[in-house]
Amino acid sequence: MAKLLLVEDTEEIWDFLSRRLQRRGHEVVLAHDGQAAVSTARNSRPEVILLDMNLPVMDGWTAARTLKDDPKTNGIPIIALTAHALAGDREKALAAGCDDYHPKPVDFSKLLAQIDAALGVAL
Amino acid sequence: MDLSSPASNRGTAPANRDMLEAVGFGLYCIDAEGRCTYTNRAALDMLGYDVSEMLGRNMHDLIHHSHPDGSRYPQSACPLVATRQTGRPVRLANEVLWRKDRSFFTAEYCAWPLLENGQVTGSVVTLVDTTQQGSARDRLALQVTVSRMLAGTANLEDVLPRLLAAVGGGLGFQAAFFWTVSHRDRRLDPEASWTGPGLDAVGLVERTMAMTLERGDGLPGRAWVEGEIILAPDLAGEAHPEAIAAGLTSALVIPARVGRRVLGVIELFGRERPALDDDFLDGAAAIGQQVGQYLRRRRAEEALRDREEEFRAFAENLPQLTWMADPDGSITWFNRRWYDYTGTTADQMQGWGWRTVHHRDHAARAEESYRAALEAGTVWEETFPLRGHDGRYRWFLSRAVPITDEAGRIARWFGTSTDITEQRRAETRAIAAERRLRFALQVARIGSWSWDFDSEVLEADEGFRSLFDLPPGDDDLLAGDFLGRLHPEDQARVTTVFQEARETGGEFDLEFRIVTASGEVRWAVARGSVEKRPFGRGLYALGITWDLTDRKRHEEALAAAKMAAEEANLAKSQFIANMSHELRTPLSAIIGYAELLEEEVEDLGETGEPIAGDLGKIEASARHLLTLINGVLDLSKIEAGKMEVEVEEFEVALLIEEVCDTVQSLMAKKENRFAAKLGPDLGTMRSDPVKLRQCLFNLLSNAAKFTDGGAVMLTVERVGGRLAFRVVDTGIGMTPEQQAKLFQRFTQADVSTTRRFGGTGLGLALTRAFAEMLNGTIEVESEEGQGTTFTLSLPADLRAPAEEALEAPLSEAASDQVLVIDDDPHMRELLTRFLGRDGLGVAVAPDGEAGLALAREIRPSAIILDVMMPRMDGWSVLSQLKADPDLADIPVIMISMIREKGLAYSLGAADYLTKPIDWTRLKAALERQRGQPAPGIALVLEGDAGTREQLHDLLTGQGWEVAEVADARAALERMVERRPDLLLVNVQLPEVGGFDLLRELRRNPDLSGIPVIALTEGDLAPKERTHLRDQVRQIIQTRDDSMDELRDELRRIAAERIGRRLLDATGEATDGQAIAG
Repeated sequence: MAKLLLVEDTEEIWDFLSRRLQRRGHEVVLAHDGQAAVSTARNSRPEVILLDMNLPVMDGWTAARTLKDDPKTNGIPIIALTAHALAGDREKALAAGCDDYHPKPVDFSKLLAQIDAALGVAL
Repeated sequence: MDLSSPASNRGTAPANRDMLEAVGFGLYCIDAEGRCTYTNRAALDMLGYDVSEMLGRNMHDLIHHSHPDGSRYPQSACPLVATRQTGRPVRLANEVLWRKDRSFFTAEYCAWPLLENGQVTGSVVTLVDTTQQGSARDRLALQVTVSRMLAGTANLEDVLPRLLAAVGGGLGFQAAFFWTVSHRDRRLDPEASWTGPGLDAVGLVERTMAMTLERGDGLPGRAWVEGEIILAPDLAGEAHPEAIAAGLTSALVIPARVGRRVLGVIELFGRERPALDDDFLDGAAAIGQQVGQYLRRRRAEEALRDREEEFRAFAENLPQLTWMADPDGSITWFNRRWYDYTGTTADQMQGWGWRTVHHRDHAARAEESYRAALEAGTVWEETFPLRGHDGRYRWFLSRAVPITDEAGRIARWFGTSTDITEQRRAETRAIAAERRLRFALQVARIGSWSWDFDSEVLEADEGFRSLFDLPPGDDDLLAGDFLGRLHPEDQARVTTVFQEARETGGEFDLEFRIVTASGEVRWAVARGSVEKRPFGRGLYALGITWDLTDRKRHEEALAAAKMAAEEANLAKSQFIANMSHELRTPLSAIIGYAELLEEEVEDLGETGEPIAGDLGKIEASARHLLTLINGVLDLSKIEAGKMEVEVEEFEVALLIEEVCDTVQSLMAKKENRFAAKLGPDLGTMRSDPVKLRQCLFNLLSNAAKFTDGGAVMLTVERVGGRLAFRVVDTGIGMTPEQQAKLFQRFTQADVSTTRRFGGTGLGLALTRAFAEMLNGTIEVESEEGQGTTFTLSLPADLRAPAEEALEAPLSEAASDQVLVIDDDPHMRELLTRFLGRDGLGVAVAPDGEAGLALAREIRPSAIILDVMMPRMDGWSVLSQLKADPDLADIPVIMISMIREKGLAYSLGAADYLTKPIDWTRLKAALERQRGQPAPGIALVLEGDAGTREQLHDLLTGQGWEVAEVADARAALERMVERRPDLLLVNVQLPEVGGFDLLRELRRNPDLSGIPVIALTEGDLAPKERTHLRDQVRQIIQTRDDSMDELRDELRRIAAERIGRRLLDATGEATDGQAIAG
């Protein structure tokens, strides 16, 4: 299975999501803000990043752009976790450099499929 | 002689009688009653009577009955009568006595009383024919006689024959004629004739009376010419056969003249040649003059009588009522109209009778002023009502003018009374109308005014003055004072409108602001037109003005209230959206944990089964709650205009299959038969599959909910470019009333439905909203108890014919437009209004694609871009804008509900604002981005006031804030107070001290960076120029033709400044983001 970076500031969400992902055999590294996400990605070199967009310190879009601008991290596929059913999440996420997006609330099986797909792309 | 005895021919003694017969004068006696009792022969001869004809007759009546002019001489007036009463003798010289043949003679006429026992019993009267006495005395007597004749008032026709008899007889002629001179016809007409007793001259009389004479013809004609007495001693040489035939041999003509003017001629014929001595000629001339005077008087009288008649005729025929009054004011004559109008008679009106037709309330006043005018002898004028014959009163204007005689005394008054009832009525109406108008203007607080463009003077009423806070009173106002009250920002516009109206002579309708002396700003309307004075005497404007302040304030308040309400509504929608979002986060956790636990319970095997069941219920409930929240969220998104359509291409059949799978369990739960019937060629759709799926799910679950053990059928057909989805059930159906409310939010068929069937009432409202978003329609057919059919019709390709046309892009080429790209019509309207209020041109586009197209077309000065839009969201639009080299420079202000500043700036947005929009911030942002107003502060150092003003105008015209000073010291003070962004310095005028200032600037590090434009009036010496060039940015001559150069330079500076500020602003924003994060 893969090493995933889950960037999520809401504790309940990252808690159950990381545990479920771990149950499926993934290794989950956590970050709770955009800034931390960028540094953790640089240091831990995850295979896929699950990136919440509404983050403190640095928001998801800025983090995505920063990661994609950095040659060290620009190869890591990012799946945006957007909570805004209000906006054109998908385009916005893609415009910010994300590879895929997953609207909240999490449809776990779909998310797993997206991770698999991202990994496939990455491979 | 005993005269005391009764005097009667019969009663007188024969001796006495003989004695009395012998006296050479006439004598008779009368009794106390004046009857003749005795006469002697001489008296009978002189008077031409027989004794029997005289005795017993009243002698006065017989011989003294008339004055010489023929008028009656009453006995009571005869002095001889006095003798009988007083008993004293009376002597009358030159008295005219009448003969039996009605001729007369002058006599000395005396009376002596006869006394008997002290009682007067009669008189003895003597008469001596004075004409028979000496010639001098004769002639004097004749003149007296003529005078008496002429002094009377008898007619000319009566006087003339007697005159001729007196003159002819008196001068010893036998025939006489009177000729009158007609100066107009230049001829003589015979007027009267006389022939002496015993003369047969019928032929002469007939011929003479039938002829007229020209001036100079015959003797009378010559006398007229010469104005002198002419004697023809021998008629043989005068061709006067009739005269000669009558035995007449000589003639004398006497002109009757006044001065040299001959008015008539007396022609006398005699049997003998008269003895012409001086006395005779003087006497004849005197008679001629007496007659001349007489004729003149008669003619004047006649003329006067004619004039009087003319005047009366005139007065009679005037259209007014006319009247004449004596000097004392009593009215002697009224014209016919007066009597016709008043219905009175002359008797009623005589004197002061007119007072009876005056109105009670006005009579005293009219009389008073009338009497005052009479007293003063001045023209009288008064208006009052007079009663007509029908009893109604009409108003008259009466005037009376005094008419004076030759001596200047008032002879009478002539008066007119003119009916002015209609005039008065019209006047009253006009006054009432004006009063009403004034009142209306006053009540409506409307001021009226006129503005004479030639004199630049305004006439204005109180309303106008108080509105403009101008001094009250009737004095004219200067146009400048009025214009000075205008709000500075409105002055140019008002002036332009008036100028246009002046040029076209047209109307104007203006709204503008006024600044009162106390500084209060008021709104006013001026409406009117420019008129031309007659005869090319220039133009003037006529107008009314009223206060609009209250209405403007209400409008502003209303607009603000509306905006606030709209903002509040947006805020509410946003709140609901946020709230729903916040609800979903914990719900995500609940579902997440439930699923996690279910997995973990699975590991426990059988022991965990009951728990697994419970967990399943938790999860199902959570998901149900999620659907409800999603519904609310969807609706709030729709309300806020934030629901987005995501177009994808998909297989219709596949989507239908998915939906059928999903609803299968619902159908089974209510034991409904369910079938889907798909057309053969459904193919693919380009639309939003999520929304279509939700629509179909809603319709089908709805059908399932309201149908028990019945059938639900879904049919799908492709008809041309559209797809029709039909859901038919056999459920409870709906009444028409229920159908009407069907698609309303939060409303189900009725409240009981909610209890029986559950649900939020959102499903159908959402379905319809979605259908509309997908350019489709939804219809329902139903009958209570008979089931329901919903038909959803959607275009197969949503993009193809964009039914919602672009909102007409404003094609103004003005680059000073702001483009608003927002899918929410409310927001577009709000922004248009808001920006329009600031005088900006606004173009709007309802979506990204249209926005991009419009941006390319109009090149706006700024773009306000909404983030969340269907089809293409703001971020994509922003990326495309920034990727287009033509559009990349246009500043874009992003507007969103969520703070996504970092993203915005990273994509190149110039500014980022969150909703609800803080208008002040938007305005500031726009001004920053558009760079139009206030490029900065410019300080002008210039000694000449005219140039200062010119520069001021130029700079403010380009948006600079301008400060002006006249010398270097003031400039430095000003610069310390507030650092300018640009300096314009006159370097040539030594008193200004431009060079000093430049030196000072170099020394001061705070000020040395300020760009300087040096202004010179003429050419500079080359050395000076080089020196200056190192210190200033530009040297410009202040001549008219270099103003363009200056203008360009100012633009460059402004552009540079704005560019730099834009950079600064971006930097700031990025910094701000970093700190916020």
